[in-house]
Amino acid sequence: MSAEPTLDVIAGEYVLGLMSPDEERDLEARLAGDAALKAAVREARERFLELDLTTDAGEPPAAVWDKINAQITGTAGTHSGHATVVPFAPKSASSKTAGFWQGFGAASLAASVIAGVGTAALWPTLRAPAPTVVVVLLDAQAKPGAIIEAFADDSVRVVPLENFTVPEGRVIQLWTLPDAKTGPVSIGLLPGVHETKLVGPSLPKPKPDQLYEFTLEPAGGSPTGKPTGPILVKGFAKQPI
Amino acid sequence: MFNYSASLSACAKGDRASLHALYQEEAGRLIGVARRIVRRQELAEEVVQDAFLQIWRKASSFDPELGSARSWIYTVVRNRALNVIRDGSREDLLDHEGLEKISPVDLGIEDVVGKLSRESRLRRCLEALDVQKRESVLMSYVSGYSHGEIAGRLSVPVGTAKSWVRRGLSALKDCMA
Repeated sequence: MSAEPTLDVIAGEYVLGLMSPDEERDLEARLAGDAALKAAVREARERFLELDLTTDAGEPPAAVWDKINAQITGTAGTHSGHATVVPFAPKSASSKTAGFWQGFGAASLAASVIAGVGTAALWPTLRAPAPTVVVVLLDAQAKPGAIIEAFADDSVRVVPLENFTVPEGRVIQLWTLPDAKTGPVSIGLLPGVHETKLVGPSLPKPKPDQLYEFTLEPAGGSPTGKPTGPILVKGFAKQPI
Repeated sequence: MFNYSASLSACAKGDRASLHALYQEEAGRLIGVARRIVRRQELAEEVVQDAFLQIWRKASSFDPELGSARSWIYTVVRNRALNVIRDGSREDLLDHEGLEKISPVDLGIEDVVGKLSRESRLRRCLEALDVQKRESVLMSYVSGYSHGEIAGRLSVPVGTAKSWVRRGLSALKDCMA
């Protein structure tokens, strides 16, 4: 075996997943300007894909889709503009909806962990970065209802401060307004009124004064991809000192 | 015939029905691929769940010059699964759940070759390889083994395992050309 591996062997080791993280980074940096290497990677991927396709198709679990669906977001669109603010109900009044949320509890916790990190063991590395912006969301009476930390990697930590009443068949959706031209973009659906981590679509890094808001939407999220329901709370981002 | 490329384009535009259709079409097989690497059903489901979030977020970055849309989807899943086992070592996974919970599929790497279609060129070329080279390549791709793990399983030095994989890759390429 010669000392210098051929392009095909390098591409093969990359596709097999045998490279160290450093080697992978170097190769990916080379890929952009190296058509021959790209072709070698493409060939290796197509070659080995056949092995993956030997697994049994099987009906995929609906529960896994439900968790994915709770984490993904709708499309960007223009703001409806005439949303109104609904007052918070006192805590006791929300007991009727408690059962509705209980079913979501375990699943949403798992979903938020997966969305953020994949495995619990990765928590330390992903929890380490400081949020790019922090937002205090206020209701119409300027009472704080939730805190949001938005990170550079499109993830968002949501900490509710009020026990929002969510009628059956409705869900709280988190939106942000990256800029007026883009319009409001959905970051995700709150799986329940508790601390949650959501991963939104790929957006520019959150900026100071960027608008964030909760609206009440039909279960499954706004059907139009833009806010349709009443605004529960909203706030403008601040950059931590 | 499912159009994977159109599905990714639609996902990039925020069409969640497309992601759902892709899930229905492919997730069963993808969970199978993840299970060959992480060994446990519930862990494999978590891998695929996380991979679909990545597919949703990164669909716009799919580059057809690096492979078909379908191979990109499998690459995302394999990479998630590899991250999981390289983070927590394989031994940890074994200790927690006990051997009886581990899918036996990993112990039958050669069975995977047998599942390839009889007309498959890849099958013919894999069967033509020396057994060490074939097993080294398959342990790596199918089960996500590192060079060290291949060496351990085959009781050879790491350098030997590395060389077997390289020679296997090279011979496969020549055979399939």
